[in-house]
Amino acid sequence: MHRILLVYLMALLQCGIAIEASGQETNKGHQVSGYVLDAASGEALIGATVWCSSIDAGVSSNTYGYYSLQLPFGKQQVTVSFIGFQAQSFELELKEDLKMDVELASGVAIQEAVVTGASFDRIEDQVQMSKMEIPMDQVRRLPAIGGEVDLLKSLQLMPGVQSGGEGTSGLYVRGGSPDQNLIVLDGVPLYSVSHLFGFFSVFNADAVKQMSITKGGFPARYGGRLSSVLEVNMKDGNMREYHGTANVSILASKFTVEGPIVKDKASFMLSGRRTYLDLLLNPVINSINSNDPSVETDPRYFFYDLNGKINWKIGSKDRVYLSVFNGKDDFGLAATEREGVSTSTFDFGLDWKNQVLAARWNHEWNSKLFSNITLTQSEYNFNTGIQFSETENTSDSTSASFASLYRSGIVDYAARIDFSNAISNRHYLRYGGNITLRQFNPGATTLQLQSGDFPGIDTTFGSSELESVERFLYIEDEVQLSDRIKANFGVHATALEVNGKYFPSLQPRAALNWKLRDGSALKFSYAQMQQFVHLLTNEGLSLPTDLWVPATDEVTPQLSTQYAAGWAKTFGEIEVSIEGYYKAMDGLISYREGASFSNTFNSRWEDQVTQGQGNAYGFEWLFQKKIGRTTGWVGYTLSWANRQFDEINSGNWFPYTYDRRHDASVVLMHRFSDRIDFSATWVYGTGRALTLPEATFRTFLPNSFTTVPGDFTGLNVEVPSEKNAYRTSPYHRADVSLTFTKEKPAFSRSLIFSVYNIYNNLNPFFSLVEEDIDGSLSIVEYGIFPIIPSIAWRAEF
Amino acid sequence: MKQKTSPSIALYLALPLACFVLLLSGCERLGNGVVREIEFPAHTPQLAVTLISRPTTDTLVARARTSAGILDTTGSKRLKNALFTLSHENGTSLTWGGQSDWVGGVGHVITSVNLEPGLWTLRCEEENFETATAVQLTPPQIDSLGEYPYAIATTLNNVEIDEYNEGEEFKYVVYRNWTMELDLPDRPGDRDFFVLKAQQTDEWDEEEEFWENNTQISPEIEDDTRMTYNRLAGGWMIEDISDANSLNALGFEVDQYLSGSNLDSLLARPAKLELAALSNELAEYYRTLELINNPSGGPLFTEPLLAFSNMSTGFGCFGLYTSCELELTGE
Repeated sequence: MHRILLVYLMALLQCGIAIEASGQETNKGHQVSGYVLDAASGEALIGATVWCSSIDAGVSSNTYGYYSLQLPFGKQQVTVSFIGFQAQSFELELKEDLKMDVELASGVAIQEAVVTGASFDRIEDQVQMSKMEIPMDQVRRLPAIGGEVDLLKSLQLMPGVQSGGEGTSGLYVRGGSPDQNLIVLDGVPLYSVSHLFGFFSVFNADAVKQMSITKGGFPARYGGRLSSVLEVNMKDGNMREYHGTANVSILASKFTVEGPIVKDKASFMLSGRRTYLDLLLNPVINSINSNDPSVETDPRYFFYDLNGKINWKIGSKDRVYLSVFNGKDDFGLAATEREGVSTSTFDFGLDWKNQVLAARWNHEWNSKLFSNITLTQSEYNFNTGIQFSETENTSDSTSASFASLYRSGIVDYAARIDFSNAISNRHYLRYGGNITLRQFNPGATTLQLQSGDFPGIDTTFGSSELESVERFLYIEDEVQLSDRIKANFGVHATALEVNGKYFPSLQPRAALNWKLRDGSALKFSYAQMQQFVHLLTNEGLSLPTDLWVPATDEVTPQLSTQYAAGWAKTFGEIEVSIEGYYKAMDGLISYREGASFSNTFNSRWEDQVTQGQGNAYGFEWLFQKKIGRTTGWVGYTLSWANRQFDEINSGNWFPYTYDRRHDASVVLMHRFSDRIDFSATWVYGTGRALTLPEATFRTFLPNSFTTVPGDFTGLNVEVPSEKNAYRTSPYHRADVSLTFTKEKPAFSRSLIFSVYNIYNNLNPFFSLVEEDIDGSLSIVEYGIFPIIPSIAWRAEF
Repeated sequence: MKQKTSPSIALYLALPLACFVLLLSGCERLGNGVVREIEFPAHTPQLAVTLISRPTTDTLVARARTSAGILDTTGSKRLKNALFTLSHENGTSLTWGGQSDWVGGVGHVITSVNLEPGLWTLRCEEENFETATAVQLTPPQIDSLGEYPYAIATTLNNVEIDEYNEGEEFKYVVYRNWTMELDLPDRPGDRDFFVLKAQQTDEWDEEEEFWENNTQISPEIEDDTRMTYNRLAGGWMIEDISDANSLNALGFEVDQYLSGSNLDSLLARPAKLELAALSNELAEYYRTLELINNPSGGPLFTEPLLAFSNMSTGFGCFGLYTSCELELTGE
């Protein structure tokens, strides 16, 4: 197999070289290249269309706003467009290669003419399938719980992307688990994207410029995860003027400021957010506890995140970006009890922290070749501790204390280089490589014990730290095979080195777009993916205790093969796409039956897990309107997701916890005027699969293996159902939001009213066996989020 | 001209008021919290049979109960009329059960039994229930001699004697510590399971507030993957995890605490250990029951687990073991 893939890789390289040579020989035009920018801020526009109608060819600007297009001799009409901006057309007659930066002025979104809908960027023209993007302007207008807009929850409204449960921000893409999503912030992978036990994501919508998610048909430049790639790009910072926003909601406040450091040369962006649940709730809790003056309590919970970025243009061909993200959750409870001369204290804490640093350097080698070098660090740490102490304040005072601290974490240091080579309008070559040094701390516990004059104990135990090195090279070619057929072929070659063991792999990727005569397109894709990290997690809840662990000689990497086929067409302003997919996965891990994350506190994590396989298949329908006064989409997914582990459920296949047969969403946004915006969402999903106790019996075990028979102890045993044999109630909910905006000369302000779960449907969150007053038992589902109205205030200057 | 779309002050006031009303409504709903009761299919009671014994024993005790649906408040019921048949592959069989063999608080008892080696089939019948059956191969007899021998080497490391005066009487507290190296048989091609536990011969003396004779055993190596503590068995479950002879040089620490007024008598009392060789099915039964009964992550965070059963009904166990006593003396 590897030999065949190697031949495939060599053929692709040869093809690229041959194409470049032939391109030079048959060059019949000149190259126009440059950046597409927002005229107001100088921000690069990602995914803007540069289209030449006479040759029926075009390109999209890349992550840095860069484009490169070959134009034939003679006068050519070039149009540059981007959603929400006024398109610009140029008549060009090139006598040599031209460097042309294009600045687009922001349009009024309700004017439909703002978006020309240049044919190149229509869904049926894109080779890439299974990729979705929600404009940030629309994300900010969606209804949000507590008025706190969340990027990941907005993605959960798209077909093929599901939520884990009520209020949680985890993404379950095409039957995959959350660890199978590569979530990159400014090119840096993030390991934990949750605040508040998963109810909020770490992304501050005010600091984000653009996001997109790819669910399948992965181009060769992506790798390392099985199920999706979510790219989030922070704002670069306004190059021309100082601007800012302030936002106050019932849960958190946030601010963003941006502006030039040197006008049109360098800019900055700084954004921060902090919750104040602790400030609001502590007085209430303390007043409840005030009845007992001997006890003092100090509960705490908050999260914050900070985003910062500096963007510096060094000449016309180089640009440097420095990005930083830092976010932390802190949860805890401290209590002090005084009784007579004795004082006892108790302190429990749980905190987790993400930190990302990235430095990127873009260089335009010539009008066809663009490169980017990225150096990154990504760190995630989780700590939990508990401490008791007791002191006797007497003449011979004594004290005793116990402290336990559990730490786990992961750190990545990575270097990456990417080249984009616009060989001709028929071939767009991308290639590059990456090396990542990954340090795992899969959990260590420190115990400290001190009692009076006895010698103290101070010891650390648990899993040892591990290092791995992951390297990959990739090459892909986006090629126009004929007037009607476009394709993207590539190979992602990767190798992991851990504990002296190597895991090499060659992953072929292919995508094809076949344009039909009626203007619609059929799309096909094939992608093999490999993942070298696993997330050890209990399926029921997403907790910060989830452990990232590497593939080792005992626990092999995860693999997937995904086939997808689809049809797409734009009807006026409405994009329609239908996709079917089949994904086979292997090397998945799960806790063994009877195991849990707490086992990993004091034993090897490898002994707690078992490996198995999975599959997922289904169909996705999306009807999306991105422009006009009324925008939104309707999405529906019919899907199946299953798992099989030899050591779970007697080796039989069972439905994945998040196997969801039907998943539907309706999103509607309407702009009544410049002052009033309305948005509404409705979601429906089949209930989550779960295992419940079904029966009991009594058994007897001998107290001794050598003494008198008959000396037994009785034991009641609960018998669970087949794995995931039951379903919770279906999930459905509607949210609405109404925004009033008032423009002032110096700033604008908005008042946002939103109602989460407007028809007050209590959706299941957990289930319990309960005993009624009459002694009868029942299993009852409980919900936690009823109707929740909220209000937020926002100012922009 | 003023735009008609501009919201009035009344609207600004009405919306917070509406929010407040909605919040109250939501609080009321949350106060109840119940989404729905999950409906279970009716459970058809099955025979849950337990027969765990040594093959060579004077007495066999079998127990038959019903399984019960999780929502059945009356739970698992005993079946006094159940009939048991134990048949050997060579054709010999034993039958007992019904009211005549029922011993209150114990189960259905048959005496004067000596099960010969080989494959045994247990059959339990009760009116209105599907018959439950299970098969079991007698494990080889674990002993210091014979075809399935263990080897033991012990070293007495420490003897501490504390003496104290209680009124006119002298009392002694003796602490002894041994290191023990145990070689257990490991058959190529077969899985071997053992339990090593301390035999608690004496009880806690409430007046003296001390154990009369308490023995504890722990592995020398904390992370020895060949053994795990099983609370239900009351000892260390030992398993051959790799090739033959993987159960050599199992290291243990044995601690014995004794108290009493006659020092010579105390020093003469050995620390007693039990060594049992379990059939594969019985070992699996212990392992799964332990995980269910003592979930490491509590009931919420532990992956659900089905108790192993070799009974055809899926409830209970027919398990055989052989055993012997080990004595560690102060010499």
